[in-house]
Amino acid sequence: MSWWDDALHRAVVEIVLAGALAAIIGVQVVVRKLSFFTMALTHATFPGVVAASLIGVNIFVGGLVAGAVVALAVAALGRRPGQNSAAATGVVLSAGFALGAGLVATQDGFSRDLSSFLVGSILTVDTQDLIVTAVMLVVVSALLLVCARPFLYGGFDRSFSGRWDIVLMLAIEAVVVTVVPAVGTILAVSLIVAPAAAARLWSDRIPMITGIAVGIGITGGLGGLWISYQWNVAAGASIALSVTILAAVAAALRRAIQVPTGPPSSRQVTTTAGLA
Amino acid sequence: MLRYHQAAVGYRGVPVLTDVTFEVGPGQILVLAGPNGAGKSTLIKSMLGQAEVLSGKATIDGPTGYVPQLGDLDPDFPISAGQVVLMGRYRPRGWWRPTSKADRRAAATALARVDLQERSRVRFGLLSGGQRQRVLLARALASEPRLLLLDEPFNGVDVVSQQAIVGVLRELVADGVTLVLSTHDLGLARDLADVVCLVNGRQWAFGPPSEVLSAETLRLAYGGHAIDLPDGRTVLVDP
Amino acid sequence: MIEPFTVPFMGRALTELALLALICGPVSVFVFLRRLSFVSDALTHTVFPGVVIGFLAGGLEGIVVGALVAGVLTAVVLTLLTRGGALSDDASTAVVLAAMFSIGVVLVSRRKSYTSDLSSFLFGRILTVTTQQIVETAVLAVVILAMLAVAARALLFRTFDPAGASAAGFRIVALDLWLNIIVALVVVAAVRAVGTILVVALLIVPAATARLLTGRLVPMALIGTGLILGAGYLGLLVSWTASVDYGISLTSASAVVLLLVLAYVLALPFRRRHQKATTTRSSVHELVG
Repeated sequence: MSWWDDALHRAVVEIVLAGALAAIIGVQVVVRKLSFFTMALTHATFPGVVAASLIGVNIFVGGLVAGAVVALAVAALGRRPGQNSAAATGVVLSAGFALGAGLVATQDGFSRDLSSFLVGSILTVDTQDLIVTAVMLVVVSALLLVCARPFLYGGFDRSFSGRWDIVLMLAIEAVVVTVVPAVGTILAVSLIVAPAAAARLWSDRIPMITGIAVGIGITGGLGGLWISYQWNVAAGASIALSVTILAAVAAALRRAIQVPTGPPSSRQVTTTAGLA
Repeated sequence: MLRYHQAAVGYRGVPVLTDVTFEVGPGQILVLAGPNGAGKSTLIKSMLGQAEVLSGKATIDGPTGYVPQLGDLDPDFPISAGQVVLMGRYRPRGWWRPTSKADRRAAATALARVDLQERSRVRFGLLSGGQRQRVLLARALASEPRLLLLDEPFNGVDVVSQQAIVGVLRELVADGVTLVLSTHDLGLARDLADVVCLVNGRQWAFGPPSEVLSAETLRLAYGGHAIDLPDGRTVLVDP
Repeated sequence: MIEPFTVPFMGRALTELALLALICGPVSVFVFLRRLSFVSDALTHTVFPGVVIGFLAGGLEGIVVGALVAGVLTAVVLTLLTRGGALSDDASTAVVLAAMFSIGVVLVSRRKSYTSDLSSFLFGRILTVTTQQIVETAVLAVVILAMLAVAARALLFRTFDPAGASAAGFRIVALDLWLNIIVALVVVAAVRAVGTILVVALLIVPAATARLLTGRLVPMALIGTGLILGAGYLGLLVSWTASVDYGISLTSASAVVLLLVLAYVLALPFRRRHQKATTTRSSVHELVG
């Protein structure tokens, strides 16, 4: 029996890979304020996954196609006068979720599938899932490294964006599609957003933020897996919770450290004025 | 009545503008002049309590009216010009009370003063830039302020609207209202101001326009981008 | 077309939806204008632990209380977190959403009926709405509409021009909290009967659709209410017909949401025409003055 045959061992590897993958893309999500979009993606790829499994196509492909449609729909609808991207994202989210849930409901054993979609089933990942996650980790890291500059400009200067926005949205989508089947939607959102949001408070430099986020993501993920194993609670939820708690601690720690160096005293104000 | 003494203003403890010292009485127009990003808006926000006075002293006597920059408002917002003006009558105390007949009359009068009474039912975002600015001025009028703050009121405004706005401002001054308006248009500053406060990161000069808007002080504030013309005027060149 | 609704449970389902239409029309206008789509979505998730704890502590009676506590708590936390602008609104919303929902899942995952509990939370049980639930919804509807009516003008001012409202002496944080609590109450009123999927859709889609058809506030709210009534009636009818006549199991909640989204898609082309007409009219006036 090889080391890989143990479900818990596979889960450990998956959470390390997924934690890193989610944290890396999460930095972009947080900096560009795309959390709601990410949430919508997790819900709206649902019908794609369900439809793919109904007609017998690879569910990864199904999710990818549905996600691409969603990304383009949000981009197109959000630009219309009078509409805003929040509303457009909300409409797409509702539509995708309702469609997916409706499709599932026409099948037997529907509640089982639905709950695994929501909270994942990390203890049942197979070797193929691991390979997909590992490959995506390499691909997305490479993409972010190559496109670091345009993404940065895109985040800084709205007029520059456009096609880079689409590239970024599709990258987020690819990550979501990769991690959701293994870990579920809620966990995907917390793995993507929480580590990066906490790391953002610690630094203004993207590489630094990314490093901290990956650390928080992997540590929190392993901690959550251990909790779930110890107390027999849903793995996806306990991982999401432990990542969030870790991120909250990191954020609170930052606040605590910040106080002494915080607002300049009136003496400093005078000094600044004197120099100016 | 508006008085600042050795004040520094900014956000979250970080000063944006320092050394602010001036005094304006009733019926006077104070123009805040300076390049973009000089801290004019921050100074106005500090008078509204939305930016912090970090050191020194600021005395502001209300009730205060405020005309925001046009760019801060969403042109797609589904609201009519008349509804915007009526907002000037909303009061934080007694906010649950419906608007009274007197409120609606005051709003209608204010809209008539800026010459837009027949545009009351048109959606705010469909008006021209100048008309929108006049609607915002009408909203401030409807609140019957003693101190009126206008942030860049002539940005993107056509000549007709500019004249209408200036006409109303002069009426207000005659009624004893104190006016503060920011602009980066030095010609306008010269025409309108009783006193000018020239700022760029700090206050560089304060006094009557003839003194403050001299080539010398301008060069100080704008850091060498001021050029004297033979006819005695000064122009500014962006770096 | 009326016949299915003479069956008592269908009649009750329609009544519940009609009550929700009454509150969600106006509330969705503010959700749209304040861009609170994500907050609404978050609230539907964060009441989940409240529902679970309420049920564990007090059975069916405890659910509303638990949801109420969790909803109001989230409204307060979200208002406070986003107040200083230290964390961006959407990141903190996402974190609160995921954390609270996870607490709910952790609690429920120790129960045997785990999956059916989860799915009933998602879909609600619109077809098993009891008269007592309708009464609860009606009471909450009165509270919500009253809260909205008294604060509508101040909320509108704050939404349109936060700097101006603050200059006029309105407390922005208080108004934000007020609106977040209103949305939380809507979620509490609706979530047990119609499920999270439908609540999110009811809070977002009606106003987004209405905005495509009109640029005025009161008509927006009325159109929103009308859309929910229409989609609710048709959705129930379609799912009834599908299951009774064709044996297809079609969830009512999904059917109602998809009809609402269909209305949004159908309204998309209207926007351009409506926009163009008014723009031309106003530009003539611009020439005059």
